Amino acid sequence: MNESFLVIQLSKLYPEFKLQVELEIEKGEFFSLIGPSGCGKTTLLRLIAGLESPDRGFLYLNGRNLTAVPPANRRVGLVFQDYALFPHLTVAENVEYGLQVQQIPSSKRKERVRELLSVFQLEALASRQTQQLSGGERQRVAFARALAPEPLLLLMDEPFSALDYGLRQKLQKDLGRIQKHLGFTVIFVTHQQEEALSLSDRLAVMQEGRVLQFGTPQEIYEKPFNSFVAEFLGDANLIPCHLEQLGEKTCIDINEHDRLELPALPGYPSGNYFLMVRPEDFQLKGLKGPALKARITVLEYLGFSYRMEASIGQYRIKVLIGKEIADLKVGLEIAVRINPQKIRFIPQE
Amino acid sequence: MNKPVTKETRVKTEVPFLSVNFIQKFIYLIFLMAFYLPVLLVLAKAFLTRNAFANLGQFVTSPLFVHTLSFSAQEAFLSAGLSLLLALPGAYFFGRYQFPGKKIMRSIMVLPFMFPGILVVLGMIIFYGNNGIFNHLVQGMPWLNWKFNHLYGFWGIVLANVIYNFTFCLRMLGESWQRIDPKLMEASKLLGAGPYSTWKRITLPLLMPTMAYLFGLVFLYSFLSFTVVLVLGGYLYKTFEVLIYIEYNQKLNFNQATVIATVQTLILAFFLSIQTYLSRRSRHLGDYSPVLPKLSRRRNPVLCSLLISYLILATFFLISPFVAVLSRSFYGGGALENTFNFKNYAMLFSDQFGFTVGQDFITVLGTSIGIAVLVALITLITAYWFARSRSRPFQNIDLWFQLPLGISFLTFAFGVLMVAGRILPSWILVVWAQVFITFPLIYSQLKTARSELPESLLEAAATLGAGSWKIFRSVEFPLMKRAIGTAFSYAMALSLGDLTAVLVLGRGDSITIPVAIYRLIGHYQFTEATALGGIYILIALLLLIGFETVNHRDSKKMSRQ
Repeated sequence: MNESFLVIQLSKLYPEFKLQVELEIEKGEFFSLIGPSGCGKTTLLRLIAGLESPDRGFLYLNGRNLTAVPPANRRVGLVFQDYALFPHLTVAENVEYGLQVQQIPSSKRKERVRELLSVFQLEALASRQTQQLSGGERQRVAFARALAPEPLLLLMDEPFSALDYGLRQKLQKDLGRIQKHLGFTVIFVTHQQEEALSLSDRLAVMQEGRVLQFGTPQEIYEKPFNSFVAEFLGDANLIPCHLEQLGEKTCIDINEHDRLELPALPGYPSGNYFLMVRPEDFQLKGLKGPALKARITVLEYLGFSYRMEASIGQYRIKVLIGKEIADLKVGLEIAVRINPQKIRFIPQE
Repeated sequence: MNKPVTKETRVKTEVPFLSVNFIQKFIYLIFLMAFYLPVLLVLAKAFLTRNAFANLGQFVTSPLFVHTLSFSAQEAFLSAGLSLLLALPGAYFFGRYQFPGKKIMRSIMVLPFMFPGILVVLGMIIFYGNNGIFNHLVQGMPWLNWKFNHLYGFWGIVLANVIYNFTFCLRMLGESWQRIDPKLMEASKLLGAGPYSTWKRITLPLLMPTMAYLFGLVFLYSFLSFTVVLVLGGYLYKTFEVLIYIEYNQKLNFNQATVIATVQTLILAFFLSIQTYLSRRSRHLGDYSPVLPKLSRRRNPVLCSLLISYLILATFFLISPFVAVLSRSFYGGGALENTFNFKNYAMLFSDQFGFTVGQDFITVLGTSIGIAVLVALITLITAYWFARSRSRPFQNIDLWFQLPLGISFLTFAFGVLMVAGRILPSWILVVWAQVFITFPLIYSQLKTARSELPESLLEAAATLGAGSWKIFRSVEFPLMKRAIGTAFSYAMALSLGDLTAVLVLGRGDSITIPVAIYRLIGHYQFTEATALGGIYILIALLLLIGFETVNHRDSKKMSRQ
């Protein structure tokens, strides 16, 4: 029987909020949960850890039903947003804690602690009190401590949120490397889309207690399920339009004057849609075929590229363009083209 | 991909270490009953007897009521005002500067608040009495041609209340002042305000909520003053507490005692509602913890002189009575001319002591410590259990736990007497009443400390495989040890210092140190009284050193490299 490593089907009802989630996660996977604040990411994590109990549903980890198992016996580790390091214990004692409560013999315990301190480059800090550590050091202790009892699943609740950009980048890389090296399964909660895209094997986008879409970062970025997912993950232009299938062609009316005629796009019945184009998918030159007339309203130099805002009738679009086009000016009328391969239509709800 | 099960499972289990159940509700109810049944009985007796409202009306229109209310309000108002006024300059130094000995002084400042009222009275008699040390010193200045002979009267009572509350106000106000960010004052100065204007417009408004809260607190304590007024008030000055005691103990008029207790409860409810409002406002002050500048004699000569003068004057007028008790206890016969000896302490073992007090010294000491340990343990365990419980089975349970602050000890003691006076031995009644006295303070201390412990630490331990007992032993207790130790010391001190409950409920069988001192003062046996006072100060010091050592060890461990 082909069973998933982690099967989640849980629901929890609060007075003003209902969480209802179904997910399956594979062994060794780095799975991210993203969504706006209050969408239920942390609640889901706490339900998986056993810190909250569900009203309905079940949770299977490695074929074992964990639904009613207390957190101490789940073999699920959790890295807290505020790290939750024990202030009365040293770095080494914090890492050792989980092994101690499992009554692992002292020699094995010390060995494992040494190993983890080395993996996370914490040897020099072993006897320090946790209050004397920097943010990044605390973060590494929290990882080492959570991994010490060899959990089957590691949960992380926005572990980089309190760190500055540079440190976050470094720790993200370290985490990715260590996760691949040790091969543990991770569920990672974040609201940083970049973080989720770069770290995850797969991710799920949540809204109001439900998973809207899950898949690889590429799938979700390229083929968002709805306008919320499109706008939440990356920058997206959503232009209301009417699509009409006319045999060999597909006509798209954006407003009274702007009409795009494209080769037939199967899979989209005629109707009202959002035309979704990522800013980097517009092109100003190099492409042939139909184009939209737009007037530049904002032009910003970003160093590696230009960010442009332009108006098509009453609609505004965001466009990311290369530095090679240097003769643009605000107020100029230009023709923007879209690669038909990159066009998506999201039904208007 | 197949799911292991296809049928949805209804989950009924809860995480065990967080669960609330029927037993918990039951314990809450029993505890609330133990608090409120006695009070309800007193109120019922006052309201449900024949001519109840006529009796109440008669009392509130009597000259006795008017006189008692006016005296109590005046002495409480003056005591609160003076305590704050005298504490203000000291709070400035404690809140704004670092100076040698500050830490130890701050610790010692807790002591007077831990002392029983009767010890304050004893100190007052020995220091400010007609033949006391103060008048002895004044006589050395014949040109002054003055003597302090107001001890037994209005000003003596106010002075005793100020001595009792001054250090507490100084400590609290100093801590509030320390929490004000100095950048606010700097900003005010940069905007053109002078020192006075900055004080008036910035510092004072920020301190005001704490000052108002402290004023209310000292006012309540003084309004409810029992021991001080009982001994120093004579026939002229009585608070409602003293009136209740006289009606019950001397006139044996139980009905009138309940009427007065009821009227007092209503007046207190009014004051307490104001106090609750003020305390809510006082929490809005920030949580700034700065590194304070050091006060140096070279750089701030004027401020240094002012601080030294302030400390000398405050120590002489307000701390000396306690020092006087301790020093007098080592001069046999009680006169300063005698040499240092332990004669007073030896007299505690004499027959005379047993005759006056009613029990021998060892029994008194054993009873005091035994009851105090029992009270501290019961209060600590129950208060901590309630404080750590995440869910509240009843609404506004915290308010119900705090309400005993607004019910006088004497009223409650009466209630206990009515509920179980005939069936329970006196020591159990005393323990019951003292748990009631200590619980609100200990509960609020522990609840604050417990709420500061991040829940994520306990959750982290749970996810690492620790069960509920292991979590408590290895994470919660080590982090709460300091608060628990302090709470235990406070509970011990409050029980050891209680005179009211033991006087009403002890019925001569249970005699504690404050009762013994009270009886010794009543028989003018000041020599043994000072020795007993000395022993009390010693116990309080040991308690203080005990919890300060725990705190010191903890903070040292936390800052270890």
